[in-house]
Amino acid sequence: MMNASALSLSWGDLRELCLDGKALRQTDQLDAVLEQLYARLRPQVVAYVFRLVGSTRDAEDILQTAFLNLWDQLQRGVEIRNVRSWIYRVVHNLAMDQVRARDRREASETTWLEARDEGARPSTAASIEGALVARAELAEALRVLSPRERECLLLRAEGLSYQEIADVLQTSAKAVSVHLTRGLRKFADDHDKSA
Amino acid sequence: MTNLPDPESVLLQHVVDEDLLAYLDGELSGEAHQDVGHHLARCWDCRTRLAATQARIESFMHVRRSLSPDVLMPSERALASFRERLAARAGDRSARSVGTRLQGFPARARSAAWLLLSPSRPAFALLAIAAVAVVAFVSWFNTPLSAEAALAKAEAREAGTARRSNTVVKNVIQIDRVDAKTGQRKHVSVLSTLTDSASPALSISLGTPEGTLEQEVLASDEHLLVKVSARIRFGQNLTRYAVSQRWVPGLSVAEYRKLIRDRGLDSAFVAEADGFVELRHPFRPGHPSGVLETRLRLDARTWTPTEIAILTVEQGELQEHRLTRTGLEFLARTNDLAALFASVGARGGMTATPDSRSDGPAAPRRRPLPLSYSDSVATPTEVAVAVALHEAKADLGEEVNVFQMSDGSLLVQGLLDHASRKQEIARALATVAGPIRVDLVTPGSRVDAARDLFEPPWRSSLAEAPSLPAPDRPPLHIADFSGATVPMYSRLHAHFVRPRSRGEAAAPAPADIDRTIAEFVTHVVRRSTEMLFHAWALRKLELQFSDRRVQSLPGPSRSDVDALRLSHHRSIATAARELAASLETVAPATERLAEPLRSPDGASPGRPGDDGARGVLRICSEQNELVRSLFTASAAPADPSSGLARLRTVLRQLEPGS
Repeated sequence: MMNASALSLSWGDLRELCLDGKALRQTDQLDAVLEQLYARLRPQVVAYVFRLVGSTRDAEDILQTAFLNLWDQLQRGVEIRNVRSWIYRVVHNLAMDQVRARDRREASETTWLEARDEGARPSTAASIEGALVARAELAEALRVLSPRERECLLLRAEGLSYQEIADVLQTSAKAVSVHLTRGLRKFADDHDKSA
Repeated sequence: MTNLPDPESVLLQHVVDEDLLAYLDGELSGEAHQDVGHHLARCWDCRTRLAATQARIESFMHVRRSLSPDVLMPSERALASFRERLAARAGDRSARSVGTRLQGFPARARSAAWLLLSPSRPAFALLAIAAVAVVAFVSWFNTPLSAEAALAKAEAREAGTARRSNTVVKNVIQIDRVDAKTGQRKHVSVLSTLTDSASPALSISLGTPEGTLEQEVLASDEHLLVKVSARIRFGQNLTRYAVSQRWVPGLSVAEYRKLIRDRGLDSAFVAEADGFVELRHPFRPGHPSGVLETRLRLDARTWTPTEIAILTVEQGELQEHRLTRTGLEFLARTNDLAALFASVGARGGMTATPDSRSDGPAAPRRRPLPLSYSDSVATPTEVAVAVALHEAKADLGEEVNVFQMSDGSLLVQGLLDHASRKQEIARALATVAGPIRVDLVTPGSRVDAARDLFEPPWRSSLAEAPSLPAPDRPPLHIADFSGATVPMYSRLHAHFVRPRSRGEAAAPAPADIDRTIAEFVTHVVRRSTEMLFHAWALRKLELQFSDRRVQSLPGPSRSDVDALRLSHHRSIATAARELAASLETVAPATERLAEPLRSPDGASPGRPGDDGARGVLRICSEQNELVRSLFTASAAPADPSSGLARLRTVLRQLEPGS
């Protein structure tokens, strides 16, 4: 029998194994394989989800939930063709659910900010240098993008192909290409303006 | 060169932006890729646009990089927490069957393949056993701390200590301005406040490097900020914002909460370093207050705020205002001190009558406060609530407390781990008639700034609180099993390796043995923890429904209280019996064991009846300690033989008729 903790699988092996949940379950290696997959994908995926939800805790939680779903699927013998984009799809949907729920919750609240907004002066922060300013600024920079454009760009930056992005977002590769191009253009225009 | 297509046709049409990007991304089909390549070779215009596209990608990637989480939990910790959830998920599915099967231990378990899949190396097996076994104790340790959870925790702590009667609290806060570029601190002033426990009045004094010292008594803290903003050099925009939020300068979590309420962003960051937890709350860019970010530093042990920093842009310059606590004293409210505040009492500060000046805002309405057990008596509603909470199992280790309030109502307040528990408990309480307010929060939920989380009423009367896994848990502890051993492992292994029945000739497979051991350990640890929770509940009942407090209760309510007690006693006895039976299977009573361990204080074990719930709690704590040191990976492992002997003695005291 293979030793679970000593088991060290290449990415190719892991992908291969996910193709056949039934065989995986029979070899009693399901948990060990999932743990390796989890350890392998976690840093990147958590950072990705963080950019969507803004909280590491939530991001970690979402990733784990996705992996529990993966466990369920593989346990049932379901074949997962591309496990990486599968994970991205699930975390993406979970993150979006959370963001939507939060938006609904906040929609009814009128904040002090909104009440005052008309009088708001242009930000003086842009003229200040320093990393402190940068973070909030940069978060703002992404706001010029439409949600779709933002999603496409962030997923592309994760190294997903157009088709994989299309699978995650339930759209076509052609649409992804358009969103990416438009998103980059908008982003750069806004960037130049503020620079 | 000959196989290049006709230059004319290649130049005919420029490449569209989509294709330029797709070209860079390797997303074009072989032929299209070639065509674009040829075109680019000729066309400077398109090459320029290609470079521009590349530059856009780079600037996007730059932004993306800056939007990375500051602190990621260590990967071993994340993996441990993932393992737990995986085990719990699998556990949910087979929970029912496991529960019934375990009654008849050691009947060999067949399913539950989830526990340990194949580890043949003992080290891994131990780790997995430990991970499963500690679910009952430390599931909260392994979840990463969110900024919101940390804030809620600190707030709860603060609410608990905020109200001490007959005390004047002295707070000394140093206010500095820090140069954002050089990090140099410039001392601005020292604000010290005396807060009266009997009135909203406070006395302030303000010291500056120039030596000026002003002393004044204010009717309430409402105008404190306006009074001192110039002295502490807050800019106009910041002052205006802080006043609109009714922020009172000082080191208070509740006040900090006001400061970040309307910041226009959701993101928050938390960092843990040795000795403190730092929360960072960025503000929306261009926020009218000019604030970029606020920070709150908490003492990791006590959860009290030690420093608040506000980063602002004022007149195009980056400023950091830093408030650091340099002193906190609780003074007895002597006549002299009381006289200090009495001077403003006549103006309405001490009573609830509104401020007489027409332009001033009305004095804050008095909210009802919780009464201590010694200041109140039990009511039938309180008993009914206790019964309902018991039925919802909310009295077993969860932080749910019942308060008699100063306005005669009852407040049920709880900090729960999951939203689903919130509903279950609310549903159970819905059946109780009477003036009840239910206030249940989860660490992730938004805590209303006006809400107080009160210190549990029993805590003040509990000087002897033993170390418990709940409800007061160390929040930043990380379970660490490196180098730890499970003392009972080899004994359990030797036991379960034997063939279960005569028909079975061969020893079970190693994986099966480990699985069986893991199940056994889970069972033992669960029973043990249950026992402790029931004992703890019993002790709290004793404090809540003391002889004095139940004196005036009607008969039926008193019997309800008795029934509650009996129920916990029964649960403890049952669990003790089951635990003893389980131990019997691995260490038969006929087996000679070493001399029992002495109890930690060296005393012979007391009878549970000697001093009521306190005695039961002491014994239950001891058995839990023993179980943990024997069956889970522990830094201080017990000697199996003498530990078992002691455990047996302790358990015997908990069985009825002993």
